Amino acid sequence: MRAPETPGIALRGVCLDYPMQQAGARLSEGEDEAFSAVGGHLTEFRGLRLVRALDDITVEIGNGDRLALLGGNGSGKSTLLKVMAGLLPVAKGSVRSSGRIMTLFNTSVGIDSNLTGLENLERLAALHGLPRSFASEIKGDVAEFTQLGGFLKMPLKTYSAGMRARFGFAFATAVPADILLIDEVVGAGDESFFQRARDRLTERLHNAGIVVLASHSASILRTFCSHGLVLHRGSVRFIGEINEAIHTHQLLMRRMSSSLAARHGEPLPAQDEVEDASPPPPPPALEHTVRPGQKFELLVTARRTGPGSVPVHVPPRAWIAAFEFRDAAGALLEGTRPGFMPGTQDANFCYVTGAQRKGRERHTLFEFDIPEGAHGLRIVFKPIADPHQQLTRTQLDEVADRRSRGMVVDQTAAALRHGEWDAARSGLGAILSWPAADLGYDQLRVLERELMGIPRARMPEAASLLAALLERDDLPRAGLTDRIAAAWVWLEMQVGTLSDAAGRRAVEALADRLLAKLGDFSGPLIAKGATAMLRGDRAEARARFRRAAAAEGFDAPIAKLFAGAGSIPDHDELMRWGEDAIGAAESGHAPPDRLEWLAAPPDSEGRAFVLVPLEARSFVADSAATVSRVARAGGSTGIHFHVVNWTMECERQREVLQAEAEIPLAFTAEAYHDRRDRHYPAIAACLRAREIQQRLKADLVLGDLRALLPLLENGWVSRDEVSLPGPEVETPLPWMLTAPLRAEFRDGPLARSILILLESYVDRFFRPGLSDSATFPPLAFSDVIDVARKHRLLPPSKPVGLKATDAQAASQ
Amino acid sequence: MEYVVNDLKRSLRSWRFWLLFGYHDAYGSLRRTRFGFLYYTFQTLLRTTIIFLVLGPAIAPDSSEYFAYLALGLPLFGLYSGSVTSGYGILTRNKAILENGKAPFVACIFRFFIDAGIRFLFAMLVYLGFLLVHPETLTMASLLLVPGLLIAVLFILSVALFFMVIGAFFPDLSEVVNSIMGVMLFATPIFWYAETREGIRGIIAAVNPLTHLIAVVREPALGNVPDTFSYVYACSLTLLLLIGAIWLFAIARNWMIFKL
Repeated sequence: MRAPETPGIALRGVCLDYPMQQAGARLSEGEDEAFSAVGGHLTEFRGLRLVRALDDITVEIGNGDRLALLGGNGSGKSTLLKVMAGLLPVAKGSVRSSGRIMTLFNTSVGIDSNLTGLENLERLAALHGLPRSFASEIKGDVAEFTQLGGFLKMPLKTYSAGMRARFGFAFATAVPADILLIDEVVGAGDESFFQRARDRLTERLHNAGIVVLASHSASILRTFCSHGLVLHRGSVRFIGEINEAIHTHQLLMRRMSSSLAARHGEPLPAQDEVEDASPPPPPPALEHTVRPGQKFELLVTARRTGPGSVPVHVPPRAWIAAFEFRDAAGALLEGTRPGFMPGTQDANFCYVTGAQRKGRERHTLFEFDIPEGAHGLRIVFKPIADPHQQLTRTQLDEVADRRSRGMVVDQTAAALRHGEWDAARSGLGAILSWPAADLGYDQLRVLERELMGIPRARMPEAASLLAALLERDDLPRAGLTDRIAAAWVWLEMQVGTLSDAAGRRAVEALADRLLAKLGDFSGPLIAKGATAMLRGDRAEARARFRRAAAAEGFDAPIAKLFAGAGSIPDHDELMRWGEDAIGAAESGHAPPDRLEWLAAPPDSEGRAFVLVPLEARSFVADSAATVSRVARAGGSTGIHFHVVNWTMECERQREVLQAEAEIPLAFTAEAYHDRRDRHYPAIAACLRAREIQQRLKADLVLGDLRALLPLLENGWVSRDEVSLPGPEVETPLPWMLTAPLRAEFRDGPLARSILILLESYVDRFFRPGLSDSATFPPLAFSDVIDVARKHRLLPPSKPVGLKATDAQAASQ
Repeated sequence: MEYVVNDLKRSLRSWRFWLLFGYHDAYGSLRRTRFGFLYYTFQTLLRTTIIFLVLGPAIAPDSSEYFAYLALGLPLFGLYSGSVTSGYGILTRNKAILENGKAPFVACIFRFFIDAGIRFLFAMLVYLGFLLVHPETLTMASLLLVPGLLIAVLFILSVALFFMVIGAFFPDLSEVVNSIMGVMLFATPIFWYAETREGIRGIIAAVNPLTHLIAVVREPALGNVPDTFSYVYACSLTLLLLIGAIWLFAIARNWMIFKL
């Protein structure tokens, strides 16, 4: 048979047997069981014990295919890849392939750790039969991808494991091939490496004729592959669309777990749980031609065919339709993008314009706008993990807007990555004009990562680009600029490495302008100070810390602490300072100046002042007993904790502290937020308050809606009071922000009033053109109640700010 | 057999691999030294000189040729015995490369050959130095060095392939052979003359294949014509080993990859 001209792999009835290491070896009962659970079938051939690793595999892979191999450990994925590569002889069947095959099973093959990176490039080129000049050609590419710089001239034994992985991966992906066979190498390395590797593989995959990728990561497989082949104990269990393949694989894994649990006498999962994981009905065969600009309607009919016990998932109740449009060259025009919606992280959504149920059938109509240049449409029906996470029409509207914005972010990131500055300038300009609330955390991270990845040589150019943007008057002082500031601080850390003096000056000037724009945001100022300290410029560092301290932001006390320090303290050092302070207080001596913000002796009212730094949250619990001793030594009858950043961690530690303390404790906080405020730091900032009363009674400071939860815990409002059934709340606020509220208050009237209030805050804060001098009044719980009463969401006679029992008594 | 031919073809095509990797193997531990490969020369010079000074007066009191005899015999023995003992380790050393399909089997043999060849060539500088002092050592008989070296090369490749295959299936054998090769240093006429020995020592020298394999190279290098028996013995043995190695490789090829 003549080999096909185009790249291709064809396996027909392939079986492969692994000989056991020792002829005639016998397995004990337990070992036999282990084999049957994860490995292939045991067979014998002329008295030789064999493990059938692949059993009757038939698969054809054509040019342009991207196939994922799924399966548990020992299912035969790696073996199948080796068979495709022609490395393992088959016992039965035939393997045919055409095209240059490149395997990517191990990134360290052929590497000599005693040789330098450059010498190893030559070595690897020789190993792949490539001329020495190839190594020279890819040197720049490898250097850029690995970011190894001067390390390329050093022996590989001086590299860290991550650097080695980058190096091996960079070479392996630089070799041209028609067929790319990859085994789990993408998941290696840190997050940064993974992102870069993913981008690089994406580029390579566009060029490769065939890609076969084995991985345990569903997200990796979804990213790179269109189809999946599920292997179980060496046999093909499923081959088809990638999402279905992943679903089938997950089902197999669960069944295996159940089977093993049953063998070991563990309880089985509930029946409905198993049923929920039943394979979804196969997607309808779809072939339809439409013209760009034309409306496209898709009618999906799901029919229940099995017995009644198996639930039928039909759109839109438990399904989301995701889609991609591609042009003739296969490039993505519009489609799946990272989004906000939980359980649907990698999907966009299309409108459901009609749904009808007829007996066992359900018809659902979807509408699409076909973009210009669209050549192909791929539709994926994705089950929602939690059927209760219903999307409202409003949320779908938001997602639709965000989808197009997400594409702009991606395109801008790509432009930054490829050094297309005009496109990057245009994209960033557009992004900076949006309300920051419309930008997702993931999208901001994409931009941040690209900014951090700007090649050193491009930094001055990037500086002028950002400088032009910062000249805008309507630059929103919101989350985006915060993230860019963080990225920029990192960039500035690289300034010392710039050889171009003019470029260095441009970067520094830009950093100053950026700081001026950011005004009293103390976080970037502290980071700037830290940067200066890293550079050894202590005077500059102190100046920046003092400026941050004067800004009286969240971190001002910490900035003061840093300003008096010789170096940036880490957690351990902070702990030592704390011990010093406590020791000084116990011995009757005043603590050193630098410790004044960490722990001060009791004041005239007998209150000790304790600062809990961000990086030393556990200080509270760790020092509980000692703090008590300090207070007693000062004659206190109680301790007043004033916490700058009251986090959820503090909430937990408060309980520990109260349990361990020997004297009464009181708590106040300047800001109340948790990790979620990283998504919306601006909201946390605008909601901060300085006037904290003695207890968290009425003027609760909100940084995140979770902050309401202590109200419940403290019994100031009863759960019943805020859980009244009410109409579904529709709000343009991101779901992520409101989810905890919804989960806690179940869309009750109080939730509605809070949302209305928050909307007004968000609207004010993110309004373009906001001046730096704008201030934001604190959001108090009493305001929430007032709004609720104003909107008649709570009875007007309801007392405010009292404990539930009091409130109930008053209403009676 | 087709598989063997294909493997050989692929191996020849991947010359960049075995040339560079063999070179790096030889350079290996000498990479950080000032004189690099010359240490192989130095090692041979040291051994040759010491044996010459210690045993020379007893074995060949009036002959300076004994120095050249040693300078040729020691590296040749190292080359032959190394191809036996290292043959076992070829699969292990190239495990990752073979598992990832980056090179064919025979290319790994070539890689070993380049490594051993470089070491041998630098060791031979001692002999070349001797020739500078005693150019009369070379005669017309020295032209027989060419077929002698050809036999040596074929033997090394055959024996490495043979033991690579054997080693994959019988790992215990490597220890036995290593022990034997250690003794062979004394059972082979390297620092003693086979002709001067009679009785059991003479028989051992006569049946020892290394005696003849060394002789077909060493004797022409010393300006002598080797015995016809040595040629017959060395050629027959090399041919047998070559055929045996190819046959073994052909029948074992499917299983070797599983034995890595």
